[in-house]
Order: sequence, then structure tokens, then C-alpha cells
Amino acid sequence: MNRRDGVTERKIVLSMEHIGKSFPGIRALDDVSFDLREGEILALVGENGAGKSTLINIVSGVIRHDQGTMRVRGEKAVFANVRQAFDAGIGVVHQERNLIPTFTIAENICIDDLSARNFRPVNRQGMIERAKKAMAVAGLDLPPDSGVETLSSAQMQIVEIARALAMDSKILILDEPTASISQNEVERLLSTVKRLRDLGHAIIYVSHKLEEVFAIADKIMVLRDGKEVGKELAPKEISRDELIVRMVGRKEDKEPFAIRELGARETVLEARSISSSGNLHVNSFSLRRGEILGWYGLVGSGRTEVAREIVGIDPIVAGSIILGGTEVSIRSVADAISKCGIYYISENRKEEGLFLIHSVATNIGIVALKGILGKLGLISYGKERALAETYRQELSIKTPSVSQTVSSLSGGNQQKICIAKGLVVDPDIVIFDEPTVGIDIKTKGEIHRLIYGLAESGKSIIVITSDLSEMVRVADRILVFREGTVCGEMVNDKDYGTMSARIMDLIIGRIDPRRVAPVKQS
Amino acid sequence: MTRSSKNSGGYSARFDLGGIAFSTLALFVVLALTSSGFVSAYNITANLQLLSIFVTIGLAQMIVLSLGQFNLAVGSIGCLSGIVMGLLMQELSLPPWIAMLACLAVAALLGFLQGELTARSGITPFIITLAFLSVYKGVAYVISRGEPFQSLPESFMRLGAVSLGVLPLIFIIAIVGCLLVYFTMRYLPIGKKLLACGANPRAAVYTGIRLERTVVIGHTMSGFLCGLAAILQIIRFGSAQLSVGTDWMMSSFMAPVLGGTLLSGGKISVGGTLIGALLVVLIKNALVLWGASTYNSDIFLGLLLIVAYEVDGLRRHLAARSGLAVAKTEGRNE
Amino acid sequence: MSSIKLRRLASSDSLSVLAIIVVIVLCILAFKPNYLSGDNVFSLLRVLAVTAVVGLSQMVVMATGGMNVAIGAVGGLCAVLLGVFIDWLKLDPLLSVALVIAAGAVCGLVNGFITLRCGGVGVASFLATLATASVFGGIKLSITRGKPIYGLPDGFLALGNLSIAGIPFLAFVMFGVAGLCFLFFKYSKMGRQLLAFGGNGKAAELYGVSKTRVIMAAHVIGCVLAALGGMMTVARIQAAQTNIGADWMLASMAAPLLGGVRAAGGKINILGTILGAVVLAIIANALIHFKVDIYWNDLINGLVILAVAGINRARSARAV
Repeated sequence: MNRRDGVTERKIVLSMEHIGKSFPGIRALDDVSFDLREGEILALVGENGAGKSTLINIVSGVIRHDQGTMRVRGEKAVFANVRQAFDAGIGVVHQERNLIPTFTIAENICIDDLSARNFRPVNRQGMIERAKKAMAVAGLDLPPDSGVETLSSAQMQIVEIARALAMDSKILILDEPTASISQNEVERLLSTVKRLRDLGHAIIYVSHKLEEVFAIADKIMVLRDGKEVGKELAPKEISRDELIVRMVGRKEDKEPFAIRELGARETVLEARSISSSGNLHVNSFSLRRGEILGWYGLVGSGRTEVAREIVGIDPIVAGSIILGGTEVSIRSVADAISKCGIYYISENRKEEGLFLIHSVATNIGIVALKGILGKLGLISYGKERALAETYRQELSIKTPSVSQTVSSLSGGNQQKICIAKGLVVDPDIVIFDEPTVGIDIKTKGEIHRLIYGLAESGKSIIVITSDLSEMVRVADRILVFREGTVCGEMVNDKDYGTMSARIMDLIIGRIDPRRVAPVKQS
Repeated sequence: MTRSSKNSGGYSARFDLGGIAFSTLALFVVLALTSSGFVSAYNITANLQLLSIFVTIGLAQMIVLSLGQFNLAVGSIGCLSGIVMGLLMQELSLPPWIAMLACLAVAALLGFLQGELTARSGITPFIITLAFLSVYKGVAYVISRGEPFQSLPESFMRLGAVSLGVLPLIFIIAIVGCLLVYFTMRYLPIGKKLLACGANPRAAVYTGIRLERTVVIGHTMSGFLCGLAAILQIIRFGSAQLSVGTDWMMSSFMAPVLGGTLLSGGKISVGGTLIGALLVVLIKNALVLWGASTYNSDIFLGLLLIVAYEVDGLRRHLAARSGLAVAKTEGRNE
Repeated sequence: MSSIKLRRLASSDSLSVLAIIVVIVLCILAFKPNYLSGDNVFSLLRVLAVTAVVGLSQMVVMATGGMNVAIGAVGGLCAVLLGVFIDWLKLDPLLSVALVIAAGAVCGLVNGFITLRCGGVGVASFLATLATASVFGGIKLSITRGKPIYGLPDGFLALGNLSIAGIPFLAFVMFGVAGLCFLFFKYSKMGRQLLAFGGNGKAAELYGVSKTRVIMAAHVIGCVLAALGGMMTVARIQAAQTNIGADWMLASMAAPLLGGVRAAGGKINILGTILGAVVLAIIANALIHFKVDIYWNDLINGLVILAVAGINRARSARAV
């Protein structure tokens, strides 16, 4: 099947016409229409909250649309549940893994078999046959009756794709498929997806990684605030900048911060050949006073792991950490904070940063219990409140009051509370791990300005991010990570064009990392 | 609407307890009106004595619940520490106050062991308390060889009769215990740390809280309170025997859960536990006064526990909804 | 290839338990050479049969990631009900057995229903069965008022003593139950659903496995087996005593844990559970032989659980 010409002659397998969906208080999707043809990859892009998940959930049967018509192969379709979507030939591979760890590959692939007609016996041979067929198409060369527990993240993903295929899904939805797999596996996955397209499957590829979108999509569709703002965009005819403009509604605020001259500053933190029991890769780096050091890399490149070593969550077993000239031993987060003045703001704010059922004041107060003690050394709730109010104003945290339960605040405000917690202890070094993921543009800008302000006031910052433009905007110096170690280091000239090219070259491996001259310390 | 989403960070808001306070009051009134024996001095004293024991057991469980864990061995800790106390008084003729201190120390130690293993071994906490439930009880059996300690010194037995008006001594001790627990959980840093570890153990670590140490302290405190409850029960009933603690497990959950403590951790209420314990005592009293046989009381208590679960679920549901309500007014989709 | 198989055997749970058993038996034989006499083995097998069935009962619930605290209460209640049906109501023994099984199923329905009300997963089953244990125990007490029921027909009691080729009838019941469990979990869709749900509840539900059906099925089957265990005990001790089931809780968890069943769900091991029951039965039996106070039983069972959990933990930590 020739996919390059005769585009309009290929059959439309999925058609969404004026789809609308509302939740209490919010219009998640508004008049969204598009067609999906067989043998085509449609990339779905948009900021967090644009409506991508809602749209996917409607197509895959998790929820029902309120307005509009959905047609599968020309026939009107309304899915009351996920099963009906499966039966209609729509398969989804979600971001989180949905495999049964104690089952074999074949059993996972044929898992839909279980719920049909409960009282029949299981047909093992039939399962293995069916699994083998699906695995062949998906390109998975493993024994079907081996367990899934020991597979790599990418292999598990392909098992899920095979599962969708085994369920006769002619329409495949892949939701952020490369979110948690390593670089070389990304290429394998992309080629698998392309192969499926060539075989005639229709694929919706949801991703925020624009590099991948440009590499793989036949068409791009952009959602913004629930509305469709571009649907038959051909990747060759639109630039990244234009795409971003459509996604955010205005030009990305790429105005960089001033380049700062940091050559004369002393080194506040140095890691020499550190590794831990959880992270066998050996790493070294140094951080100067008042510097914003950026750690760039794809997801899984090992940056968070190194940060966790510095901060005592995964204490080092080899190498040394030198703080202001003296070697220190950091065996726990308490050590890092109280002994060394290092605070780590995690990327998983809900799981690792916040006490969701507690109030804003309690969340902020818990970090610095000593600071809210009143007379007789007892907790003073007045002081706790005052402290929270201070940060509420300073960081413009939008909340009805500091007694508000944190779970009811928006992502951006929750992130600000995480930052407030870091600031309360007045650390010398702050590590921000993916500080603006899932946050609206305006708050993103606020947080960037905050980071810059902290650095100007003398704090040393490490920013870990997978957002290239954020990196270029904020960092003074950039370390590029690949597969667990630093593969390159460069001073940031704050020009997106040159920096992104140099960084991507390192990431892809076009440059021999050994030939990248390390930045001279003076 | 906003009142329900306000919280002081881990302590059940006052309105939360309205429901259960009302039920308890209602039951009290009904009992007073329908049964002549209810308001007698004897009955009130008996109820207060039972209340003292239940509230202490409830607080013991509440502290572990604040961590988001369960202490299934409450009864066994009470049993073993009580047996030790009885042994010291009867066999070794030690003065009662030493024996009582020993009981508290042993109970705290038993809790400490449980906490240490829970914090450091990586074994599911549930299985650990389940195992200790049997181990402690087994040790109690072995020490006592199945025999109760009934010949306790006179000075000790007299404590059971001491009272301030209608208020028996053990009730006063229990109230002091409540105040100390309230004070600790609310005004000492350890209280905040326990609640943080219960609300989100990983986040607690990331804010610099020493999780293992906090867990161990929590279990030790719980053990201590079990020992206190054992002392109260033995004072009340006059002998240190193996049956101490056999029916503690259920009551230890009922009082805190009815009183606003979340089973999932991070939120407690001392006042609520007291009211919850009072409700349990009144229900037990009602069963007796209204002529239900002792055999039936187990059935009612089981049903009451199920009601407590429904209340817990309802609370969580309402809390989620009020959080959602605030989100709604800001036009966001949570 | 063979070295991989050998390694898998070496880390196999069943083999480790078997090794423990051999060691214990050898130790006992050192002190009591006539330990393996026909009579002793016979009575050991009868106790084992009940312990194994009880362990399998808990294993079924554990497969979904839950637990049944009320296992002893259900067993005790059903044992009493057997006495009630046969002795008080003078019903036909076969009918009585069927009714008791049905009663067990009803208990399972109640357990499952309340577990679902408490959320279905995580600690829900513990909380629910903690409450129902009290309710079922109370029902048993109000029926018996503390007094055992003795008047069971000779035919029924004979089953307890019946031996076929030297092996007690009760042991055959155990094998039957084990066989049914094996077929259920390996070949029936419902059984695979239970395991799927225990392995990854979210994924299982996504692909059509119904949480309600799984939880209900697990608890019903578990309680039916508990009822069976109660009846087997009645046959063994020749009376419907009121304390049947009182010590089941711990053993019911220890046996599967010893046998490699994961408390978190998703993995079962029938042979392992039976071997675990063997360990527990041998220990209890040995205590009697060495004239050690039966009170040590609780202590030892608790330590065994700790030891097994500790070893499992060490093993999985090493595997990382």
C-alpha cells in the first residue's frame, strides 16, 4: 500500500464530528472534529489540560461524549464501556503499564479472553497461537510463555501493542509511549509503529515530545483548551515554532535571562565519581555559587538518580561528595537538608512532594518544625500560619486560605507549595527536578523567574528538565546526560538554535563525547 | 462549603465530630429515659471504668493509625505486659508501683520491637503485627503457664476502689492519658511527624523526616498505651490473666474510626476517639440493660464496626467532594 | 539449560519447604525413634488434612490480595451448624453437609459484600472480615450457648476414623480439595481472573475482569472451604465443639506464606501450601510428643511466620 499518494482514497476508519464533552464546571472538549484513515499516523499534541486525555478516553470507551457523533468505519458508535471499544477494533496502550506481572506474555496478550464466558476452561494452546501471531506483527521475538516481570520497559510496551493487535485493533492509540523508555529503545518503538502503519493500521500517537512527532507523524492535530486548532497539519509544512504557537496560543516566551559571568565563583558542591547501590553509573560534576546548572537528558537518562544520590535518598557507596571544600557524608535526606543545606524538589509532586490531605500551612510548616516553635518549645500554630502566609504572598500561591487542603489546588499552585517548602529551610543548594511539568505557561514563567532570582541572591541551583527550551532559557551551564552518565558539558549561550543542535547531537550520539572539551573552571 | 475544606492539618475538624457526638448524646438520653438502672452510681462508675480502658486502647491504635499502619498486637502487648506486672507483684513481691512501671516499660519495649521490625526489615507491616500478635501472646502463655495471677498485693487491689466522687481513679488516669496524647500529637514535633508519615511516607522522607525513627517512636508510644490500658484493666478486675487483651483488637479500631481518625493515615482526633469509645461503652451497656445476652453482644459489636467503616468511607467521600467543590468554583477540571 | 532449571529448582518455594520438613523430621527422629509409627502418622495426617484445607481456603482469598480474618469464625460456625442440622433438627446427614456448605457460601457472600463496601482492595478484606468474624462468632455462641453438640450419627463419625490403604479418609478429602484448586486456578477462567486481579487489579479491570465477581468468588470459595474444614474437624474430634476454628487464623496464613504464596496476591502455590501445613502439623505434633505445653504453639507459629517472611524478604532483596 503506497501511503504517500492517494491520501484521500484511503478509507476513513474513525471520524469524530463536532465532539463535545463537559465535566462539572469545565468544558473539556468543544466542537472537535477530525478523521483518521487507515495506514496513517495521526499525532495528537497539546499542552497538559488541552483535552488530549479526554479525547482518548472517549475514543477508547472510558467515557462517553456529550455532543457530536463518533463514527467507526462509517457507522455511528457510542461506547458504554471499554469492552465495546475493544470490540469495535480500537486498542489503547496507556502511559502506565497495564500488565499482570505474574502472568506470561501470552496470557497478558490474550487477557481479554478471561472475561468472556466465565465458566469455560482456558484454552492454552489457542492463546499461544494467537499471541505468536500478534507478537510477529509487533516484532517481539521472545518465547510466548515466558514471564513479563523481567522484561524491559520498552519490551513491556510492545507486549501491550501486541495485545491491542491480538484484539484485532485496526485503530491503535498510543498515549505517550516513550515517556519511560530509554533512548535506543525509542528508535525501536518508532520503527515498530511505522511498520504497523505500513500494514494498514490507523494510529493516534499522543506525545509531547515534538522531536518524535516530527519524526513519525503523517498528520498532526493540535488541541488547545478543548478546541481543535489545527488538524491536517503536515509535518513537512510546519515548523516547531509554529506548532508551539498553535499549542500555546502565543509565541513561547523564550526571552532568555541575561548570560551571567560566573567564571570567578567558587565551587560549592563537587561530586567525584559517585555511584550508589541503586545507580551503578559513575558520575562527577561540580556546581559553583550562584550558578544555575542544567541537567538535560531524555527520560530515563539517569539525572534523577544522581540527584537522589546527592540528597541522601540513595546514599553513595563509592566516590565522594565535597561541600565547600570539605568532604561530607550524606546518608539521608535529613542529613542533606540540615547538615549540608541541600534541598531536592521532586518531579512527582503528588507522590513525593505534598501531603495532599493536609493544608497549605501544614505542608509548609512541616519542613521547618524548628522554625514554628513558640514558647516552651511547643508548636505554635500562629507561627505556622504566618509562615505560610509569607510564602503565599511571595510566590503568589492562589488559594482561598492557607488552611485550604492542598489536594484541591491546581498543579501550578501545588508546585509553588513544593518550592515554598524548599525555600523555608533556606538551603544553599536547591535541586529542581522537572519543575514545570504539567503547569500552565504563565506559572512556568513565574517559576523560571523565581529560579533566576534565587540564583542572583546567591543560591546555587541544579535544574533537571527534559524541556529543551526551558533548559536554554534558564541554565548558565548545561550537562547532557545519556544512559546514566554525563556525556557532555557546555556553557549556555542562550540561543535556542545553536544550543538545541549541540545538545541533540550529543543525545543522538553524533558527537563523540570524549571530544567535547569540558568547561574550564577558573 | 469552604468550612469543610478548611483543615488544621491532620486533626479532624470540629464539625466532623458533630455526627458522632450527636449519636452518642442521643443514645445517652435514650438510655437514661428507658432504663432506670442507667443513671445509678454503680452503672455510671462501671461505664466510666470501661470507658477508661477502651479509650486508652483506642488511643494506642490511633497513634499507629496516624502513621497509616495497624497495630494488630494491641491485645497481646497488653496481655504480656499485664502478665509481667502480675508476675512481679505476686511471685517476686515487688511493690505495685515498680510493677506498674515495669508493665509500662515492657509494653513500650514490645511496641518498640514491632516498630523496629516494621521500619527496618521491609517485611509487610501487616504480617509483622500479625506474627507478633501470636508471639507476644505465646510468651504470655509460657510465662504464666496458663494460670492467672490472682493474689495481688492489698495495696494494689485497693486502687480499684479509689474514686473522686463518681469518678474512679482509673478514669482520671485515662483522662490524663488523653490529655497527654492530645498534647503530644498537637504541640510536639513528633505529632506532626507521625501525621506526615501517615499522610505520605515518601513525601515525609523528602522533607527530611526520619521515617524509620518516627515509625519506631509511634509503635513504642502505642505499646506504652497498651501497657497503660492493661494496668487499668487489671486494677478494675483484680487479676492479671491471659484474657486481658483478647477482645481489644476490634474495640481498638472502633473508637478511633468512629471518632474521625482515618484508616488510611494522616488524620487523627483524640476527642473523637474519646467520644467513639464512649459510644462503644454505651452500646455495650445498652445491650446489657435491654436484656441482650452476652452471646449476642459480639454480633452487635461486629455490626457496629461495619457501621464505623461506612462512616469512614462517608467522611472520605465528603472530603473528596469538598475538595472537588473548591476546584469547581475555580473552573478547573480535577 | 539444565543449570537454569537447577537454579529454578533450588529457589523453588516448594523445595525449600520440603527441605525444612526433612530437617525437622530428622531432628525429631533423633529424640523419638518411633515418631514415624503407623499410628502417629495416621493421626498426623488427619490433623494435616484440616490444616491444609484451611490453608488452601486462605490461599484462595490471598490470591486476590486479600485475607479472611473470619476463617476460624466461619469454620466454627459451620461446624456447629452441622451439629445443629444433624443432631437438633435430625436432618439427613448428606443434606446437612450440603446445607453447611451452603451456609459457608452465605458467609462468603457477606464477607465479599462488606469487603467491596470497604473498597475491595488493600486492607478492605482485613477490616471487613475483622467485623464479620465477630458477627459469625457471636451467631455461633448464641446458637450453642457455650455447649458442644455431641449427638452425631455413627456413620458420620466413622468417616473421621476411616482409613483407606492406611491413609485417612480426611486426607483424601484434602487431596480432592487440592486437585479442585489446581484445576480452578490453572484451567478455569474464573480462577485466572482471580489471579489476574491479584497481580494487577487495575489492568485486570481495564480488560473486563469484574472486581465484584472476583472478590465475591474468592470469599465464597474461601468460606466454603472453611466450612469444609469445620466439618472435617468435627469428624476428627467426634463432636461439634465450640472452640473449633479458634486457632485457625494464624495457621491459615502461615501455611500459604511458607509455601511461597504472595500476600499481595497474584501468585498461588498449592503444593507449597500443603507442605507448609505439613510443617505446622509436624511442629504441633512434636510439641505433644515432647510433652511441651501446647501454649508454645502460638509462639512458634508466630516465629515461623516471621522467619518465613524474613527469608522471603531477604530472597527478593538479593534478586534485585
